[in-house]
Amino acid sequence: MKPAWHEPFTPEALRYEPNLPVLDEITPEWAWGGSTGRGVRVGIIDSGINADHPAVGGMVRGGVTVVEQGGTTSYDPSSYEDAFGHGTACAGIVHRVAPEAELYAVRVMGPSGGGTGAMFAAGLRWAIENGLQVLNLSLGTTKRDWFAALHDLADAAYFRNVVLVTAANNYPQVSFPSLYASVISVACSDEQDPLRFYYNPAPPVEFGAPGIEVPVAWEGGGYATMTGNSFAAPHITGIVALILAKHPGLAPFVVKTILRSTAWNARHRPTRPGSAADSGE
Amino acid sequence: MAAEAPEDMTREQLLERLRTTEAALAEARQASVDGAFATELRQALIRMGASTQLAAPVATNDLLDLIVRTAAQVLSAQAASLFLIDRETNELVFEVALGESAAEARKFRVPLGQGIAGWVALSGQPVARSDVAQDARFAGGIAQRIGYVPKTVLCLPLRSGDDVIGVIELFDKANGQPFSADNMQVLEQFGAAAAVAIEQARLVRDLAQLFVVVLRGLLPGGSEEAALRQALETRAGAFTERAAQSQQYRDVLEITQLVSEISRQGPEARQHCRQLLASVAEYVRRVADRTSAGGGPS
Repeated sequence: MKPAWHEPFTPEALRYEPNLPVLDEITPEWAWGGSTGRGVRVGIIDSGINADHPAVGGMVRGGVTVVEQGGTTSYDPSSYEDAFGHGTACAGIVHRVAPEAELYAVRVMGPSGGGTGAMFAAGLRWAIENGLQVLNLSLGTTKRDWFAALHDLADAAYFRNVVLVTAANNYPQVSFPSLYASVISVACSDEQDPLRFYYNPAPPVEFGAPGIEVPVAWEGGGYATMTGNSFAAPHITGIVALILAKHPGLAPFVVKTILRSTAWNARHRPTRPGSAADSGE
Repeated sequence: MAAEAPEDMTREQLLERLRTTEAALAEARQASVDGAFATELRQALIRMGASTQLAAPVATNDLLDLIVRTAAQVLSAQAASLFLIDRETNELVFEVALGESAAEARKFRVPLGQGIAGWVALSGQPVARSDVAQDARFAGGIAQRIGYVPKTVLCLPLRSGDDVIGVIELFDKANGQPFSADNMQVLEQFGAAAAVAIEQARLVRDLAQLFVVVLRGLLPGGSEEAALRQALETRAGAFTERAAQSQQYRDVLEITQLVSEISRQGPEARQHCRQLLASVAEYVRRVADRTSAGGGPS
């Protein structure tokens, strides 16, 4: 059986990679201390957002629904209500980490099933071209047909300083855009502190964030305790929003360097070989 | 065979008559061969149509039951179910339900988007949930109606390519612990096997339907078809039982699963796979030829 993407982040497997000494000055305090994500525009490319859910704290500022009809896609800005709750769950996690970040819903899934690759690509394009700064992609496609189109969009985002944060599939099969080098690919770790994440020196999945037993927004304004890679990516999305609010205009590669330097396992050593990291920053 | 030539026939007339008789004979012989062939063809088509249509769904159901049961055992789950998506109604339909309330559970359909199964079917993302019993809405739904409210759930999508075709769901680990990310990974393997079984069944069902259409075109009257079908039904049932239990069936399934996995990796991987399989087939053929020639493999 192939190892799942979350395995590098288990206490037994976690590697402690020394940082470049000069980068040690990039601390979590420097990177996002005191930040609330204020003013940063975060896109949730998903099933929409239920703007009334207490988990998003009234921070939904707009959005769009991608509609596909007769082989062409169009945008409906009049509604982006969540089709079934997945997008609201992700948005709620971003809000918990970055409470003053502005949330935008880009709905690419409908009430009768997952969206097509075309809807996904169209939603991503809309988000890149409409001034959003961080995009949470807790979904992707396994169809190779979309490799090139999504790769172009990921490059377009990269060159426009739009940070793409993607969830890796739980099972290690190819999935786009989570396996592109230009994105921040995230799998789940068994960690409860929303601001503690790990760096994996063996890509394609570079970061591990809380995704096990996470409280997420659920139907009827409630919450559920869930496990899944879908919930790890929004933690990193939230942290990127915190960083960008404190340090506006950073390019995606700088953001990734900051994440690598502030990852828990880059700043801590195990108390004994093979054991989990000691506590205390 | 030819009648004795009358005295007054000329040699030319005699030869002409002989040629006509030979032609008639050849025609009759061909008609007989054609007739036998047509009958055989017709029966073969009926057999294929009937046996695949009858055998496949039953065999698949047994296989899915086996997959879900083994997954539940391996992960110490108290109950389990497998749903398929009905695209006509946008509902999840129980295909397999195991556990104390399985019989009750089978009666229900779940609208897409509702509950954990509906969420997973729509998002295509696997999830585990550990506080289900605290959720009044969950308890008020199917769970309460069937008298079984789980505390923990692990639910994964079943995929055919990029499309979600159903979900597999496990309930309540024996030790009361939540399902872990490792459990999710293990269930992925069972889910992949189930998805392959479903894909195959659908393919076979489509083929069976095609054969039935062909048969309808070939057979003017329904009586012969009905009689043959009835006779074959009995044999198909026995075949189904044997197929689900046979090692050969499982071996073939595993090979199909591997090929399916490789095929999804793109043209290069497909090309390698094809070349490798062609080499193996060539080797096997050579061995078989030697064996049938009396030499046996060296």
